[in-house]
Amino acid sequence: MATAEHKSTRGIWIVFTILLVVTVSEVFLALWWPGSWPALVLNFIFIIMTFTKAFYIISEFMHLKYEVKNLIVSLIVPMTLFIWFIIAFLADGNSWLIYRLSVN
Amino acid sequence: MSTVALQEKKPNLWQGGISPYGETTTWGKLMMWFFLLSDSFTFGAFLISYGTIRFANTQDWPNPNEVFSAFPGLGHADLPLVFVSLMTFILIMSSVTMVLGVRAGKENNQKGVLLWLGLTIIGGIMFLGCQAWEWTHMLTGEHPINLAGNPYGGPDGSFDAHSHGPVAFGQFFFTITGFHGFHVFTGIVINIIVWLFVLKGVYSKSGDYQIIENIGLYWHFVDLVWVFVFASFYLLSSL
Repeated sequence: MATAEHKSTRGIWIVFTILLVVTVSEVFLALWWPGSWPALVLNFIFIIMTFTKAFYIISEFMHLKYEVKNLIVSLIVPMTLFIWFIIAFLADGNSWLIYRLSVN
Repeated sequence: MSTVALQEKKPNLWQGGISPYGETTTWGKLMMWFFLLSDSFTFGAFLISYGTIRFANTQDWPNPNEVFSAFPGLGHADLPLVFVSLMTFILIMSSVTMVLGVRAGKENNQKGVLLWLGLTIIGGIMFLGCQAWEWTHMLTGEHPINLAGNPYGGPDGSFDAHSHGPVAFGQFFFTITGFHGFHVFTGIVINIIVWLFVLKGVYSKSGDYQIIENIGLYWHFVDLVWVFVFASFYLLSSL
């Protein structure tokens, strides 16, 4: 009984450790990233790390990994709207920037 | 013959009579997932509009390492991002206690649910307390960041008492962290209500602790949103 319980909570603590390590490395990078290196690379690393954390929270903590496939698909498919959402709005912001710089 | 046997073993989930989401997905859980899906678009809209404004912004964006460098009780000590890391740790920890609470619920363990859900509530209150301190610090400082002004208008988003940074910074910061904080608050209220029901033994009698899993999903979602808020406001730097 005790060993079975120990086994089942192990996954939770592994995810907890991953989340903690990723967050600490994010703060570390934010503080000690050399200013001469391109910020684009830093931001790219941050986005990758953020999605890594999101994946572990959703799959393990929210238990989605172990759910019926139909439920997973029903949630993932609407989420793909975000791809358009992000591209369209950031492109809009960028075109505003170009416009503002051309006016000034 | 063999195909008939196969069909009997694996009924087509889309032909009626049986839920396409199987028996493990209860009505409440499914609706919680769909609510969270819609809520993720609400938060997504906030964060993406924040990104749009940052892209369109011609000034240097306030540098988070300078804006968020205070820690309670340490005066003018320069500790960039340390306090928000503590807040993040508290929220992750409360997510872990929530998972353990859901697990205890599945085992019909009333005492376990009371312990872990109780710790989750305490973690949530600690997080809100931290946020209240951070807001107070930003709003009531000598050079406050609020909805109308932002003193981080120097080069590379540094502090400059004589120039003004983008006003949108404070507006987005308080709107988005406020909306997230409101989610934490409602989560705490719901958790307290369910905790009291558990204390009364309502779910032990019915033998159905499904509600713990549903509120757990909501709580993890709050943690999930914080991951993105944390990245957007405290990490992503100006190009």
